[in-house]
Amino acid sequence: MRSVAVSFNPFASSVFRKQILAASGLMIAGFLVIHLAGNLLLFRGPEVYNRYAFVMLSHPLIMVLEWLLALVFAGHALLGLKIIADNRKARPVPYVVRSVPQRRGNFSLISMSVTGPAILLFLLIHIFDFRFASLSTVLYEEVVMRDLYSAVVSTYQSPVTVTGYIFAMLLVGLHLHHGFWSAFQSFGFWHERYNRFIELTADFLSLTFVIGFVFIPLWFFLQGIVRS
Amino acid sequence: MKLKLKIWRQASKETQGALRTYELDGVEPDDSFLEMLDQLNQQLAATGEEPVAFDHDCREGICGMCSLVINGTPHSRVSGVTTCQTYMRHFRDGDTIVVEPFRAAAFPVIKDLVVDRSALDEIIAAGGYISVKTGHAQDANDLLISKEVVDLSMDAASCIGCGACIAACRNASAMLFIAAKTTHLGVLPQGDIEQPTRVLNMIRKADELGFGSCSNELVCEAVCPKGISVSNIARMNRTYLAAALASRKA
Repeated sequence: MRSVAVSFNPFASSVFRKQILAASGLMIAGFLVIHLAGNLLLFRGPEVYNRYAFVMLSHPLIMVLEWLLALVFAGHALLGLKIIADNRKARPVPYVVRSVPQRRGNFSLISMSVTGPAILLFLLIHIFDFRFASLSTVLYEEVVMRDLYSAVVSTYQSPVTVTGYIFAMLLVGLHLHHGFWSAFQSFGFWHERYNRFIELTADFLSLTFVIGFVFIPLWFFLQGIVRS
Repeated sequence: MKLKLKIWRQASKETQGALRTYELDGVEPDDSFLEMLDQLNQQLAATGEEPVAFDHDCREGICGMCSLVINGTPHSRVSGVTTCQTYMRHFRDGDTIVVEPFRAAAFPVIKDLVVDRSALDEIIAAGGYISVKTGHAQDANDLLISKEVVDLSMDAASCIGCGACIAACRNASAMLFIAAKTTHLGVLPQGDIEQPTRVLNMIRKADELGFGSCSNELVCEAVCPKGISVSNIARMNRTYLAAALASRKA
Protein backbone atom coordinates (compact mmCIF):
# COMPACT_ATOMS: atom_id res chain seq x y z
CA MET A 1 0.00 0.00 0.00
CA ARG A 2 1.29 3.47 -0.88
CA SER A 3 1.90 5.78 2.02
CA VAL A 4 -0.55 8.66 1.92
CA ALA A 5 -0.54 11.73 4.12
CA VAL A 6 -3.90 11.95 5.86
CA SER A 7 -4.95 12.69 9.41
CA PHE A 8 -5.90 9.43 11.06
CA ASN A 9 -6.96 8.95 14.66
CA PRO A 10 -7.19 5.22 15.37
CA PHE A 11 -9.55 5.56 18.32
CA ALA A 12 -11.92 7.98 16.60
CA SER A 13 -12.13 5.81 13.48
CA SER A 14 -15.25 3.66 13.41
CA VAL A 15 -13.55 1.08 11.17
CA PHE A 16 -10.22 0.83 13.02
CA ARG A 17 -11.98 0.56 16.37
CA LYS A 18 -13.95 -2.40 15.01
CA GLN A 19 -10.69 -3.96 13.89
CA ILE A 20 -9.21 -3.60 17.38
CA LEU A 21 -12.42 -5.10 18.76
CA ALA A 22 -12.14 -7.94 16.25
CA ALA A 23 -8.49 -8.70 17.09
CA SER A 24 -9.10 -8.66 20.85
CA GLY A 25 -12.26 -10.74 20.41
CA LEU A 26 -10.37 -13.42 18.49
CA MET A 27 -7.71 -13.50 21.22
CA ILE A 28 -10.43 -13.99 23.84
CA ALA A 29 -11.89 -16.83 21.75
CA GLY A 30 -8.43 -18.40 21.77
CA PHE A 31 -8.28 -18.05 25.55
CA LEU A 32 -11.68 -19.75 25.86
CA VAL A 33 -10.28 -22.83 24.10
CA ILE A 34 -7.56 -23.09 26.78
CA HIS A 35 -10.04 -22.25 29.54
CA LEU A 36 -12.41 -25.03 28.48
CA ALA A 37 -9.62 -27.57 28.06
CA GLY A 38 -8.27 -26.69 31.52
CA ASN A 39 -11.66 -26.91 33.17
CA LEU A 40 -12.22 -30.37 31.76
CA LEU A 41 -9.49 -31.42 34.23
CA LEU A 42 -12.23 -31.13 36.86
CA PHE A 43 -13.28 -34.60 35.74
CA ARG A 44 -9.87 -36.00 36.67
CA GLY A 45 -10.42 -35.29 40.35
CA PRO A 46 -9.48 -32.67 42.98
CA GLU A 47 -5.72 -33.17 43.00
CA VAL A 48 -5.14 -32.90 39.25
CA TYR A 49 -7.43 -29.86 39.02
CA ASN A 50 -5.99 -28.06 42.06
CA ARG A 51 -2.44 -28.64 40.87
CA TYR A 52 -3.38 -27.28 37.44
CA ALA A 53 -5.00 -24.22 39.08
CA PHE A 54 -1.87 -23.76 41.20
CA VAL A 55 0.39 -23.71 38.13
CA MET A 56 -1.95 -21.20 36.45
CA LEU A 57 -1.50 -18.83 39.40
CA SER A 58 2.19 -19.36 40.13
CA HIS A 59 4.04 -19.92 36.86
CA PRO A 60 5.84 -16.63 35.98
CA LEU A 61 5.11 -16.90 32.25
CA ILE A 62 1.42 -17.57 32.91
CA MET A 63 1.34 -14.64 35.35
CA VAL A 64 2.54 -12.36 32.55
CA LEU A 65 0.00 -13.89 30.17
CA GLU A 66 -2.73 -13.31 32.73
CA TRP A 67 -1.92 -9.60 32.82
CA LEU A 68 -1.97 -9.48 29.03
CA LEU A 69 -5.29 -11.32 29.00
CA ALA A 70 -6.73 -8.86 31.52
CA LEU A 71 -5.57 -6.03 29.29
CA VAL A 72 -7.16 -7.61 26.21
CA PHE A 73 -10.43 -8.20 28.09
CA ALA A 74 -10.49 -4.66 29.47
CA GLY A 75 -9.70 -3.18 26.06
CA HIS A 76 -12.39 -5.26 24.37
CA ALA A 77 -15.00 -4.36 26.99
CA LEU A 78 -14.21 -0.64 27.25
CA LEU A 79 -13.95 -0.15 23.50
CA GLY A 80 -17.14 -2.15 23.03
CA LEU A 81 -19.00 0.03 25.52
CA LYS A 82 -17.69 3.17 23.81
CA ILE A 83 -18.86 1.88 20.41
CA ILE A 84 -22.30 1.04 21.85
CA ALA A 85 -22.58 4.58 23.26
CA ASP A 86 -21.53 6.18 19.96
CA ASN A 87 -23.92 3.99 17.97
CA ARG A 88 -26.79 5.03 20.24
CA LYS A 89 -25.97 8.65 19.44
CA ALA A 90 -26.15 7.88 15.72
CA ARG A 91 -29.94 7.39 15.99
CA PRO A 92 -31.30 9.64 18.75
CA VAL A 93 -34.95 9.33 17.65
CA PRO A 94 -35.96 5.66 17.42
CA TYR A 95 -38.47 4.23 14.96
CA VAL A 96 -42.01 3.69 16.21
CA VAL A 97 -41.98 0.46 14.19
CA ARG A 98 -38.71 -1.21 13.14
CA SER A 99 -38.93 -4.43 11.17
CA VAL A 100 -35.96 -5.25 8.98
CA PRO A 101 -35.16 -8.46 7.10
CA GLN A 102 -32.40 -10.48 8.83
CA ARG A 103 -29.55 -11.99 6.86
CA ARG A 104 -27.66 -13.47 9.79
CA GLY A 105 -30.45 -15.73 11.05
CA ASN A 106 -32.84 -15.07 13.92
CA PHE A 107 -29.98 -14.99 16.44
CA SER A 108 -28.83 -11.67 15.05
CA LEU A 109 -31.94 -10.06 16.54
CA ILE A 110 -30.08 -10.27 19.82
CA SER A 111 -27.51 -7.58 19.37
CA MET A 112 -23.89 -7.64 20.48
CA SER A 113 -24.72 -4.47 22.39
CA VAL A 114 -26.99 -6.60 24.62
CA THR A 115 -24.91 -9.77 24.95
CA GLY A 116 -21.62 -7.87 25.43
CA PRO A 117 -22.50 -5.88 28.59
CA ALA A 118 -24.39 -8.90 30.01
CA ILE A 119 -21.29 -11.09 29.58
CA LEU A 120 -19.15 -8.38 31.19
CA LEU A 121 -21.40 -8.48 34.23
CA PHE A 122 -21.13 -12.27 34.37
CA LEU A 123 -17.36 -12.10 33.97
CA LEU A 124 -17.00 -9.78 36.97
CA ILE A 125 -19.05 -12.14 39.14
CA HIS A 126 -17.15 -15.12 37.74
CA ILE A 127 -13.65 -13.82 38.58
CA PHE A 128 -14.73 -12.74 42.04
CA ASP A 129 -16.19 -16.22 42.57
CA PHE A 130 -13.05 -18.11 41.64
CA ARG A 131 -10.04 -15.91 40.96
CA PHE A 132 -10.13 -13.40 43.82
CA ALA A 133 -12.18 -15.23 46.45
CA SER A 134 -10.25 -16.44 49.49
CA LEU A 135 -10.69 -20.19 49.43
CA SER A 136 -9.77 -22.96 51.81
CA THR A 137 -6.43 -24.60 51.08
CA VAL A 138 -5.13 -28.12 50.59
CA LEU A 139 -1.67 -29.60 50.99
CA TYR A 140 -0.08 -31.66 48.20
CA GLU A 141 3.49 -32.83 48.91
CA GLU A 142 3.95 -30.02 51.45
CA VAL A 143 2.86 -27.30 49.01
CA VAL A 144 -0.16 -25.24 50.07
CA MET A 145 -2.64 -24.79 47.25
CA ARG A 146 -6.08 -23.21 46.95
CA ASP A 147 -8.80 -25.85 46.97
CA LEU A 148 -10.42 -24.52 43.82
CA TYR A 149 -11.98 -27.91 43.08
CA SER A 150 -14.16 -27.80 46.21
CA ALA A 151 -15.03 -24.17 45.56
CA VAL A 152 -16.20 -25.03 42.03
CA VAL A 153 -18.21 -28.02 43.20
CA SER A 154 -19.88 -26.14 46.06
CA THR A 155 -20.65 -23.10 43.87
CA TYR A 156 -22.44 -25.39 41.42
CA GLN A 157 -24.76 -26.80 44.09
CA SER A 158 -27.04 -23.77 43.99
CA PRO A 159 -29.78 -24.03 41.35
CA VAL A 160 -29.85 -20.22 41.00
CA THR A 161 -26.10 -20.03 40.32
CA VAL A 162 -26.19 -22.94 37.89
CA THR A 163 -29.12 -21.41 36.00
CA GLY A 164 -27.25 -18.11 35.88
CA TYR A 165 -24.12 -19.79 34.55
CA ILE A 166 -26.04 -21.66 31.87
CA PHE A 167 -27.80 -18.48 30.78
CA ALA A 168 -24.48 -16.62 30.69
CA MET A 169 -22.94 -19.38 28.57
CA LEU A 170 -25.78 -19.12 26.05
CA LEU A 171 -25.01 -15.40 25.79
CA VAL A 172 -21.32 -16.19 25.29
CA GLY A 173 -22.33 -18.60 22.51
CA LEU A 174 -24.46 -15.96 20.77
CA HIS A 175 -21.80 -13.29 21.18
CA LEU A 176 -19.09 -15.54 19.81
CA HIS A 177 -21.27 -16.85 16.98
CA HIS A 178 -21.70 -13.39 15.52
CA GLY A 179 -18.41 -11.97 16.77
CA PHE A 180 -16.18 -14.62 15.21
CA TRP A 181 -17.72 -14.18 11.76
CA SER A 182 -17.96 -10.42 12.15
CA ALA A 183 -14.28 -10.13 13.10
CA PHE A 184 -13.23 -11.56 9.74
CA GLN A 185 -15.61 -9.24 7.89
CA SER A 186 -14.17 -6.26 9.81
CA PHE A 187 -10.68 -7.18 8.67
CA GLY A 188 -11.93 -7.60 5.13
CA PHE A 189 -11.82 -11.36 4.69
CA TRP A 190 -14.59 -12.09 2.23
CA HIS A 191 -14.39 -14.67 -0.47
CA GLU A 192 -16.77 -17.33 -1.77
CA ARG A 193 -13.95 -19.82 -1.35
CA TYR A 194 -13.70 -19.50 2.44
CA ASN A 195 -16.82 -17.62 3.64
CA ARG A 196 -18.57 -20.88 4.41
CA PHE A 197 -15.51 -22.12 6.32
CA ILE A 198 -15.55 -19.02 8.57
CA GLU A 199 -19.28 -19.46 9.18
CA LEU A 200 -18.90 -23.15 10.00
CA THR A 201 -16.00 -22.42 12.35
CA ALA A 202 -18.17 -19.83 14.12
CA ASP A 203 -20.96 -22.43 14.42
CA PHE A 204 -18.57 -25.10 15.67
CA LEU A 205 -16.74 -22.90 18.17
CA SER A 206 -19.84 -21.34 19.69
CA LEU A 207 -21.56 -24.71 19.95
CA THR A 208 -18.48 -26.34 21.52
CA PHE A 209 -18.15 -23.58 24.11
CA VAL A 210 -21.84 -23.65 24.98
CA ILE A 211 -21.92 -27.44 25.33
CA GLY A 212 -18.60 -27.60 27.22
CA PHE A 213 -19.19 -24.73 29.60
CA VAL A 214 -22.82 -25.70 30.27
CA PHE A 215 -21.89 -29.34 30.87
CA ILE A 216 -19.49 -28.56 33.76
CA PRO A 217 -21.87 -26.72 36.16
CA LEU A 218 -24.76 -28.99 35.14
CA TRP A 219 -22.74 -32.14 35.86
CA PHE A 220 -21.69 -31.08 39.35
CA PHE A 221 -25.19 -29.83 40.12
CA LEU A 222 -26.78 -33.12 39.07
CA GLN A 223 -24.12 -35.07 40.96
CA GLY A 224 -25.03 -33.08 44.08
CA ILE A 225 -28.68 -34.04 43.65
CA VAL A 226 -27.85 -37.71 43.16
CA ARG A 227 -25.66 -37.71 46.29
CA SER A 228 -28.14 -36.03 48.60
CA MET B 1 -58.73 -0.72 -1.22
CA LYS B 2 -59.39 0.98 2.05
CA LEU B 3 -56.39 1.81 4.20
CA LYS B 4 -55.60 3.17 7.61
CA LEU B 5 -52.43 5.26 7.44
CA LYS B 6 -50.32 6.25 10.42
CA ILE B 7 -48.03 8.96 9.14
CA TRP B 8 -45.27 10.90 10.88
CA ARG B 9 -46.21 14.60 10.91
CA GLN B 10 -43.65 17.15 11.96
CA ALA B 11 -44.02 20.84 11.07
CA SER B 12 -40.32 21.68 11.03
CA LYS B 13 -36.83 20.66 12.15
CA GLU B 14 -37.33 22.36 15.50
CA THR B 15 -40.76 21.05 16.41
CA GLN B 16 -41.74 17.69 17.89
CA GLY B 17 -43.41 15.22 15.58
CA ALA B 18 -45.96 12.45 16.10
CA LEU B 19 -47.84 9.79 14.16
CA ARG B 20 -51.22 10.95 12.85
CA THR B 21 -53.88 8.52 11.66
CA TYR B 22 -55.72 8.96 8.35
CA GLU B 23 -58.32 6.87 6.52
CA LEU B 24 -58.01 6.55 2.75
CA ASP B 25 -60.51 4.83 0.46
CA GLY B 26 -60.51 4.01 -3.25
CA VAL B 27 -56.82 3.04 -3.56
CA GLU B 28 -56.15 0.82 -6.61
CA PRO B 29 -53.80 -2.18 -6.25
CA ASP B 30 -51.81 -0.89 -9.24
CA ASP B 31 -51.21 2.50 -7.65
CA SER B 32 -47.68 3.08 -6.49
CA PHE B 33 -47.07 3.91 -2.85
CA LEU B 34 -46.35 7.53 -3.76
CA GLU B 35 -49.52 7.75 -5.89
CA MET B 36 -51.40 6.53 -2.85
CA LEU B 37 -49.84 9.37 -0.82
CA ASP B 38 -50.77 11.81 -3.63
CA GLN B 39 -54.39 10.71 -3.19
CA LEU B 40 -54.17 11.25 0.54
CA ASN B 41 -52.76 14.73 -0.04
CA GLN B 42 -55.65 15.61 -2.38
CA GLN B 43 -58.03 14.48 0.33
CA LEU B 44 -56.17 16.57 2.92
CA ALA B 45 -56.04 19.62 0.65
CA ALA B 46 -59.80 19.35 0.11
CA THR B 47 -60.39 19.56 3.84
CA GLY B 48 -57.89 22.39 4.25
CA GLU B 49 -55.28 20.34 6.11
CA GLU B 50 -51.59 20.70 5.24
CA PRO B 51 -50.60 17.93 2.79
CA VAL B 52 -47.97 15.38 3.88
CA ALA B 53 -44.48 16.37 2.71
CA PHE B 54 -42.42 13.52 1.20
CA ASP B 55 -39.39 13.32 -1.08
CA HIS B 56 -39.73 12.06 -4.66
CA ASP B 57 -38.36 12.84 -8.09
CA CYS B 58 -38.07 10.34 -10.93
CA ARG B 59 -40.60 7.84 -9.60
CA GLU B 60 -38.90 5.10 -11.58
CA GLY B 61 -36.45 3.80 -9.03
CA ILE B 62 -33.23 5.43 -10.18
CA CYS B 63 -32.88 8.88 -8.61
CA GLY B 64 -32.65 7.89 -4.94
CA MET B 65 -34.94 10.65 -3.70
CA CYS B 66 -37.85 8.71 -2.21
CA SER B 67 -37.10 7.78 1.36
CA LEU B 68 -39.89 6.32 3.44
CA VAL B 69 -39.84 3.73 6.16
CA ILE B 70 -42.95 1.66 5.53
CA ASN B 71 -44.09 -0.59 8.38
CA GLY B 72 -40.59 -0.48 9.84
CA THR B 73 -38.60 -1.22 6.66
CA PRO B 74 -36.93 1.41 4.47
CA HIS B 75 -38.62 1.31 1.03
CA SER B 76 -40.99 -1.40 2.38
CA ARG B 77 -40.63 -5.17 2.70
CA VAL B 78 -40.74 -5.69 -1.07
CA SER B 79 -37.11 -6.52 -1.86
CA GLY B 80 -35.05 -4.82 -4.53
CA VAL B 81 -37.27 -1.79 -5.08
CA THR B 82 -37.47 1.81 -3.95
CA THR B 83 -40.54 3.35 -2.29
CA CYS B 84 -41.77 4.73 -5.64
CA GLN B 85 -41.63 1.25 -7.18
CA THR B 86 -43.56 -0.31 -4.31
CA TYR B 87 -47.13 -1.00 -5.44
CA MET B 88 -50.28 -1.16 -3.36
CA ARG B 89 -50.91 -4.75 -4.51
CA HIS B 90 -48.34 -5.73 -1.90
CA PHE B 91 -50.78 -4.56 0.78
CA ARG B 92 -54.22 -5.85 1.68
CA ASP B 93 -57.55 -4.10 1.86
CA GLY B 94 -58.05 -2.82 5.40
CA ASP B 95 -54.31 -2.78 6.24
CA THR B 96 -52.84 -0.33 8.68
CA ILE B 97 -49.62 1.15 7.26
CA VAL B 98 -47.12 3.04 9.41
CA VAL B 99 -45.02 5.55 7.47
CA GLU B 100 -41.99 7.18 9.10
CA PRO B 101 -39.04 9.21 7.83
CA PHE B 102 -35.50 7.76 7.63
CA ARG B 103 -34.02 8.03 11.12
CA ALA B 104 -30.40 8.97 11.80
CA ALA B 105 -28.64 11.75 13.67
CA ALA B 106 -27.02 12.69 10.36
CA PHE B 107 -30.46 12.79 8.61
CA PRO B 108 -32.44 15.48 10.46
CA VAL B 109 -36.17 15.65 9.61
CA ILE B 110 -36.94 18.82 7.67
CA LYS B 111 -40.70 18.33 7.51
CA ASP B 112 -43.01 15.31 7.90
CA LEU B 113 -41.34 12.52 5.91
CA VAL B 114 -38.63 14.65 4.31
CA VAL B 115 -35.13 14.30 5.77
CA ASP B 116 -31.95 16.21 4.97
CA ARG B 117 -29.56 13.72 3.37
CA SER B 118 -26.90 16.24 2.37
CA ALA B 119 -24.54 14.41 4.77
CA LEU B 120 -24.16 11.86 1.95
CA ASP B 121 -23.04 14.66 -0.39
CA GLU B 122 -20.45 15.69 2.19
CA ILE B 123 -19.11 12.12 2.26
CA ILE B 124 -18.89 12.15 -1.55
CA ALA B 125 -17.09 15.50 -1.44
CA ALA B 126 -14.53 13.94 0.93
CA GLY B 127 -13.32 11.48 -1.72
CA GLY B 128 -16.07 10.12 -3.97
CA TYR B 129 -14.43 11.37 -7.17
CA ILE B 130 -11.34 10.88 -9.31
CA SER B 131 -8.93 13.68 -10.11
CA VAL B 132 -8.11 13.78 -13.82
CA LYS B 133 -6.79 16.52 -15.99
CA THR B 134 -9.13 17.13 -18.88
CA GLY B 135 -7.73 17.01 -22.35
CA HIS B 136 -8.18 14.83 -25.38
CA ALA B 137 -9.17 11.28 -24.58
CA GLN B 138 -6.52 8.61 -24.95
CA ASP B 139 -7.12 5.55 -27.06
CA ALA B 140 -9.58 3.24 -25.30
CA ASN B 141 -7.27 0.25 -25.73
CA ASP B 142 -4.51 1.97 -23.76
CA LEU B 143 -6.29 1.06 -20.54
CA LEU B 144 -7.14 -2.59 -20.43
CA ILE B 145 -9.77 -3.46 -17.82
CA SER B 146 -11.07 -6.99 -17.44
CA LYS B 147 -14.78 -7.72 -17.71
CA GLU B 148 -14.69 -9.02 -14.14
CA VAL B 149 -13.44 -5.68 -12.78
CA VAL B 150 -15.87 -3.71 -14.93
CA ASP B 151 -18.76 -5.77 -13.55
CA LEU B 152 -17.55 -5.28 -9.98
CA SER B 153 -17.36 -1.54 -10.48
CA MET B 154 -20.69 -1.37 -12.32
CA ASP B 155 -22.50 -3.35 -9.63
CA ALA B 156 -21.21 -0.96 -6.99
CA ALA B 157 -22.02 2.03 -9.20
CA SER B 158 -25.69 1.03 -9.21
CA CYS B 159 -25.94 2.56 -5.70
CA ILE B 160 -28.38 5.45 -6.03
CA GLY B 161 -27.40 6.98 -2.69
CA CYS B 162 -30.91 6.79 -1.26
CA GLY B 163 -29.67 6.08 2.28
CA ALA B 164 -31.92 3.06 2.94
CA CYS B 165 -28.87 1.14 4.22
CA ILE B 166 -28.36 3.82 6.87
CA ALA B 167 -32.06 3.99 7.71
CA ALA B 168 -32.20 0.21 8.22
CA CYS B 169 -28.94 -0.18 10.17
CA ARG B 170 -29.26 -0.54 13.91
CA ASN B 171 -26.35 1.91 14.24
CA ALA B 172 -27.27 4.22 11.35
CA SER B 173 -23.93 3.29 9.79
CA ALA B 174 -23.06 4.54 6.30
CA MET B 175 -20.61 1.73 5.52
CA LEU B 176 -22.55 0.11 2.65
CA PHE B 177 -22.92 3.50 0.96
CA ILE B 178 -19.21 4.34 1.32
CA ALA B 179 -18.21 0.81 0.32
CA ALA B 180 -20.29 1.08 -2.87
CA LYS B 181 -18.73 4.44 -3.78
CA THR B 182 -15.15 3.40 -3.00
CA THR B 183 -15.49 0.10 -4.89
CA HIS B 184 -17.13 1.77 -7.87
CA LEU B 185 -14.14 4.13 -8.25
CA GLY B 186 -11.30 2.24 -6.61
CA VAL B 187 -11.25 -1.03 -8.54
CA LEU B 188 -10.76 0.82 -11.84
CA PRO B 189 -7.29 2.05 -12.81
CA GLN B 190 -8.44 5.69 -12.94
CA GLY B 191 -9.67 5.54 -9.35
CA ASP B 192 -7.06 3.21 -7.93
CA ILE B 193 -4.43 5.96 -7.48
CA GLU B 194 -6.47 7.87 -4.90
CA GLN B 195 -8.05 4.81 -3.25
CA PRO B 196 -6.14 4.85 0.09
CA THR B 197 -6.85 8.56 0.62
CA ARG B 198 -10.41 8.15 -0.60
CA VAL B 199 -11.24 5.32 1.81
CA LEU B 200 -9.61 7.03 4.81
CA ASN B 201 -11.17 10.43 4.13
CA MET B 202 -14.69 9.26 3.30
CA ILE B 203 -14.86 7.14 6.46
CA ARG B 204 -13.44 9.95 8.60
CA LYS B 205 -16.06 12.31 7.17
CA ALA B 206 -18.85 9.83 7.96
CA ASP B 207 -17.54 9.52 11.54
CA GLU B 208 -17.50 13.31 11.91
CA LEU B 209 -21.06 13.56 10.59
CA GLY B 210 -22.31 11.22 13.31
CA PHE B 211 -23.00 8.00 11.41
CA GLY B 212 -22.56 4.85 13.52
CA SER B 213 -20.16 1.95 13.05
CA CYS B 214 -20.83 -1.32 11.24
CA SER B 215 -21.96 -4.34 13.29
CA ASN B 216 -22.02 -6.65 10.27
CA GLU B 217 -25.67 -7.61 10.67
CA LEU B 218 -26.14 -7.29 6.89
CA VAL B 219 -29.51 -5.58 7.21
CA CYS B 220 -28.21 -2.90 4.81
CA GLU B 221 -27.72 -5.41 2.03
CA ALA B 222 -31.18 -6.88 2.63
CA VAL B 223 -32.99 -3.54 2.21
CA CYS B 224 -30.81 -2.08 -0.55
CA PRO B 225 -33.06 -1.45 -3.58
CA LYS B 226 -30.04 -2.08 -5.82
CA GLY B 227 -28.77 -5.21 -4.06
CA ILE B 228 -25.32 -3.77 -3.24
CA SER B 229 -23.29 -6.59 -1.63
CA VAL B 230 -21.66 -6.34 1.81
CA SER B 231 -18.59 -7.91 0.21
CA ASN B 232 -17.88 -4.29 -0.77
CA ILE B 233 -17.65 -3.42 2.94
CA ALA B 234 -15.05 -6.16 3.42
CA ARG B 235 -13.07 -4.82 0.46
CA MET B 236 -13.23 -1.32 1.94
CA ASN B 237 -12.24 -2.57 5.41
CA ARG B 238 -9.08 -4.29 4.17
CA THR B 239 -8.11 -1.28 2.07
CA TYR B 240 -8.75 0.89 5.12
CA LEU B 241 -6.55 -1.18 7.42
CA ALA B 242 -3.63 -1.23 4.97
CA ALA B 243 -4.03 2.49 4.18
CA ALA B 244 -4.30 3.45 7.85
CA LEU B 245 -1.19 1.48 8.82
CA ALA B 246 0.78 2.96 5.92
CA SER B 247 -0.45 6.54 6.37
CA ARG B 248 1.82 9.44 7.24
CA LYS B 249 0.95 12.49 9.33
CA ALA B 250 -0.95 15.06 7.30
